[in-house]
Amino acid sequence: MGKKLDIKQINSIAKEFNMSWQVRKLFGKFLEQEKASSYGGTLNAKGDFTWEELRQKAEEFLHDFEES
Amino acid sequence: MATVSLLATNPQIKPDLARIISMITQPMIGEICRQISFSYGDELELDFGEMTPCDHPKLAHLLKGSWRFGARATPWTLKHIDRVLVSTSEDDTGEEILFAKEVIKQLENKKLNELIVDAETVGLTLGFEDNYQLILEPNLDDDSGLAYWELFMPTEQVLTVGSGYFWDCKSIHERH
Repeated sequence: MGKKLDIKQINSIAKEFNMSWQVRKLFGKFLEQEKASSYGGTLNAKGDFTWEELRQKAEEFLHDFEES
Repeated sequence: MATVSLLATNPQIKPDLARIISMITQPMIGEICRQISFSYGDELELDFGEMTPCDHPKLAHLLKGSWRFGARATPWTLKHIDRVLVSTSEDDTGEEILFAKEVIKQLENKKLNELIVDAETVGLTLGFEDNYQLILEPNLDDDSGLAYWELFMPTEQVLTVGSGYFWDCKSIHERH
């Protein structure tokens, strides 16, 4: 039931932001948490993210990672 | 960390796929499924073994297992004593997804008894105690380029299988 398009988008974002496999795995969890915390995207009613929103989330995610 | 991969297009190589995956995953047998969760894209994730906090400030309240299995976008079926409890597909409705997410939680705290890869179909069966089976049946014609499943291991390596007969075992620190 995993959504191919969503998962492929995460892979593409991981490549663009030079994420390791471990970080990409965490990024997927992070996005799901953002949706659950009412910080989801505008793509649909489920809070999925547009491509540009995914890029913004990646920047935010990696920034927090570096700060920690 | 060493990277190992194989593109088993030669039918004579296919039996090696099952044997090698079995060898790599052998230490996982007997581990308890500590957590069932879903990642972005409704990807099923099963965490086994020792649980530790996720190493990101916004995820520090979440735990991850020393073994982390991800079904990627592959449809899965949960059986109990050969009876299908739930079977998923990419076309599932929101209601069906919610149902599947609830039913799969029956695997929490179950011990993994076996992990079997079918060398011909690349199908995967995870056998759990109390006669539960989680079955992944990849579509070999799928040209999405996505792996059928992946397994993050305590060795800081990630094992990926698919698409096709391709498998790979690399460092989790390797870049995409």
